[in-house]
Amino acid sequence: MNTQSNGTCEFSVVPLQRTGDGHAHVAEPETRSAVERYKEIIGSIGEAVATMRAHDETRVAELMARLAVSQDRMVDAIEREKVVKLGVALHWESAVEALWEERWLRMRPMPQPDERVPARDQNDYDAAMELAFQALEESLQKRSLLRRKKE
Amino acid sequence: MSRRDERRKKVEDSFEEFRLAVAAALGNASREHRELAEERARDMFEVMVRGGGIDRALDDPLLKKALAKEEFSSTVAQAMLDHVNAFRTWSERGPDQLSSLVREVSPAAASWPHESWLGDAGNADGSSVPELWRIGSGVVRSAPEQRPFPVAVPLLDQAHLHVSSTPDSRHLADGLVENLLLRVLSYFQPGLVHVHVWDVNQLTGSLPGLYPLTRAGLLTVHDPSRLHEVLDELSDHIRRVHTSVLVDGHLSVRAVSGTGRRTEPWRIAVLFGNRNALKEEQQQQLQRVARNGLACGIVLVIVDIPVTVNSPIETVTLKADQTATCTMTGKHVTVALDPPFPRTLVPRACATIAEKREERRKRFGTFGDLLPEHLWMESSSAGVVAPVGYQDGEPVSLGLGDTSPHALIGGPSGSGKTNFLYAMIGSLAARYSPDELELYVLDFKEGVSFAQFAPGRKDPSWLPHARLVGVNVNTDREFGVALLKFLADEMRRRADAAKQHEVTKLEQLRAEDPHGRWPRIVAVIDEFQYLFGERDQVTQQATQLLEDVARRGRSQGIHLVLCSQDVAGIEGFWGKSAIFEQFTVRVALPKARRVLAEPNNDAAVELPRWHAVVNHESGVRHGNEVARIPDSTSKDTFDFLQRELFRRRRPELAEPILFDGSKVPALHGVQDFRLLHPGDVTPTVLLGQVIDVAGSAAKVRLARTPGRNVAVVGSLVQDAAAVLGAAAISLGRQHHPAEATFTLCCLVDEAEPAAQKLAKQLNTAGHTVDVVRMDGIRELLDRTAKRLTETITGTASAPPQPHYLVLYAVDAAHTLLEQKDPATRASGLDSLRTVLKHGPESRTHVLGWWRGVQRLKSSLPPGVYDDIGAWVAFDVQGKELISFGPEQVMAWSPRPRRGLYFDRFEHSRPQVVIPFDTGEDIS
Repeated sequence: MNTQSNGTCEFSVVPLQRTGDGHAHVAEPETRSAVERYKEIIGSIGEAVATMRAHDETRVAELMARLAVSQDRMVDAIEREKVVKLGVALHWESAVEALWEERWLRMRPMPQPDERVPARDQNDYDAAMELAFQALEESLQKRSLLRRKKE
Repeated sequence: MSRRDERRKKVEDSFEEFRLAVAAALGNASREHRELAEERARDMFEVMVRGGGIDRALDDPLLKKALAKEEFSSTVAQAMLDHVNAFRTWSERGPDQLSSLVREVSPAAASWPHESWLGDAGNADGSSVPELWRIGSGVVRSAPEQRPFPVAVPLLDQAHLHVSSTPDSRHLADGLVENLLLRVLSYFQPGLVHVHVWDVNQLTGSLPGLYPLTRAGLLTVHDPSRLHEVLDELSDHIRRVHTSVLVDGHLSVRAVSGTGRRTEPWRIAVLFGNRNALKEEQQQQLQRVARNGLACGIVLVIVDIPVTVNSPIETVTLKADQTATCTMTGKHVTVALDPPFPRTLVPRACATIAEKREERRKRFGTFGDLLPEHLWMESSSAGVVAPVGYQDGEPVSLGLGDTSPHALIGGPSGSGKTNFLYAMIGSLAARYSPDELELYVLDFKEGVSFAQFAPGRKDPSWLPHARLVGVNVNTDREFGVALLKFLADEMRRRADAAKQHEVTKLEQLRAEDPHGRWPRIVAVIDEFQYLFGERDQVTQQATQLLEDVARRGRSQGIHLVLCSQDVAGIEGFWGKSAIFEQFTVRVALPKARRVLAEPNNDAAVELPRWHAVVNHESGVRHGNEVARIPDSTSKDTFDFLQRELFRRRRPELAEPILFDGSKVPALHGVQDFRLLHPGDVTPTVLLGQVIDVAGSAAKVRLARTPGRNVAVVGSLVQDAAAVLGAAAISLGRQHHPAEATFTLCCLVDEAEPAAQKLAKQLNTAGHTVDVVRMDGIRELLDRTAKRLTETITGTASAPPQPHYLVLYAVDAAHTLLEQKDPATRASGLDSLRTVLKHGPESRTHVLGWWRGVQRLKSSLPPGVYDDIGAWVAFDVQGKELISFGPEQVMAWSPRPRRGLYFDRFEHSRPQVVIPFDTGEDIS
């Protein structure tokens, strides 16, 4: 009897001590014992499990590599978001201050992030915001100049 | 619109633009963050799923919610697809292949549901053996589809089974074992599978449903403290199979049986342990049994005993959660054991098996079954062998040959010894013709009657093989010696013949001398211990002869079968190991002790009636074969066979010699008497029958030399008259009418009828007979003495004629004879002494009866006793006879109807004689 790695045993109808070297049994399909045949069929389960596990392992390795990469991207994204929020806060504060005098203006709160916008480089949006802020400042400019002249 | 309003609108628009730009900037950043986070979550989830495997993930309660999430659905789907693909080969074919394989190799009870077979006895004869036996069903936990398939284990001839359980799952182990045993027991013909159960924890109670099998001997429950006995029994069985079954180079019982009926039943030994290791010694013995058992039909089912064995073994591991795994199915398969068969049906099924087995036992095992299809077809050249009984419907044979030369049979009164002997003799006699086998049978006691083998009044048939039948031998131990002597002589004759052909054995002699008649001889001596009953000459002779025959008989085809009902008989034999060792065949009947090699082999003690242990290995346990012995003594069994064999005998075959110690031999029936005829100058006197195989007569030749007189000593007229009568009648047969003179002297009244009878018989034969009584004795003796003196001195006118003086109770006339003649000063005693002294030379012989030794001595000259050359003594002590014979006479003690006979001219030692019946009494 040979114990295999999967814990199963290989059998011969003749006990081990009775099989001499000169009588090595050559297994012919039709002469194999039912035990051998049974265990061979059972063996395909082990193969299936091994195949599945191997495939999973490969896939897991791939994923782990991806995660390592996306980890860095994630850090960048978080950092970037922080910076954007900070820039927005500064601009918004400036805008509120600038509009303070315009008592007629019905003030509106800072807008929620609009994720529906097309995905573009963040710098583009940052620049657009900067331009919009400048445009706002410009729209307030005349009055200020007059007031300055008065002063 | 005013300029102010214009400005205000512009500000409002710019502010709105700004707000949109802020929302866009924030949105872009947050979406990027979110999307990245989601991507990473998916990846991480997939790592979790695939890291353990989708199969396990699906079962994991912690992952249940996540698996249901929409965002992971594609990940899960992909993993499942991969899973299905990996298992495609198994899923599409595996369960079906296993189902059909089990269906193919495990028909009927081996794998089918119990409804279709439980309760029916099997009919498979063992010519084909299911390779697998179902224990439950299995599923592959990790497979995408969990289709159950049958789980089965190899068993008979292939592998042992190891079951390992926890305290919580032990009941599953019990159920598994019971189911498995029921499958095996129900598959084969009852009797082909024997179960032994040993449970360290309980005396009884293991496998209770199987208990009905015990009464048929199919289940043996062993004592918890005696595992060694179970293992010894199994080891003995292995040894026995190796020595008696695995001959001719076969490696296993299966190979011996080939595709034919299984002759050797399987033995399944179920050992229930308690998870503790066995003692080292038992462990090793168990390993040996495991290693060699499979080839010999032994299967071990080991439950909860930690053991490693170097032989094929499958293991079923039962976990506390009631699931199981099995080495047949590996680690990926969870086995669900079949539930125990219904409680109510199991004992009923076992009872049916037990009944069928009993039925089968009875069916095979009548006396008729012992007999061969054709009578007298076997050759005894190499030995004789014949079935004597049945074990599980299989014949159990007894063989006598070069390797198993002699047999010893033990069985107390009522144990069936006679029956066994009849079975054995019948079975042998049916197979071997009288030219192949001769039987010499002897019984010392009435216990066994061999009278059947000799012609009887009711049944005139006799067993053609029987050459000698000795019955009621009782105290005539000499007859046993005579038989042994005959066998020793025959052995020597055969050895000489073999020598002439330059061979040593009977088998070779038969090959060299194909036309010679060299049958094997089987001598059966019942209650043989009587032979050694006393410390005397007979025992000494018997021991020597027995040793001689026991040692050398084997090669000359002479076999002894000694039987004893008495332990003492065997005990007496133990001391003579040189003899005892030759008796390699032992047969122990119920309650017989010491016949087998006790104390290790006490198999016979508990044997039921009608059974015997037949052992060809000098009584060593592994040689035991228990056989049921058929009734061989009832009407139409042995007697029927004997009549058939009798009918087939060769017509010229002589009847067996019958020695019946309880019967008086008839003088006229004795061959030696029939051969007597007139004309011999030296007539022969027949005194009685000596105890020998030929039934010869004790003879005294009455030559014309001094001392040729015959004395009979004893107190009983019956004994004396029988000897004197036979002597006179035998003498009469050797003389023509009127040639010889018989003078009968009747000196006591009680001898009168005998004397009259003798006179009549002699007269009838034409002889001259004078009858003289007390009043004529003196004159007769004086006259005879005078005639003899004349003859000696040469003054006689005619040559001497035969004259026989038959004197009844000589000593009764002493007083009369002592009286002296006033003229010559001579007494009648002087005349008697003259007749005794000088008579024989002149053909005058005295055949006299004296009623005591001293009285005989008184008739003779003081200290000179040689005128009595031959004598027969009856009820006198041996030491009284020392003056008349050799020292061996000392050992004689009187016994009824037996005399001690000595002829100083012929013998070195005395012989026992049986007085003849001389014919019809006078009416």
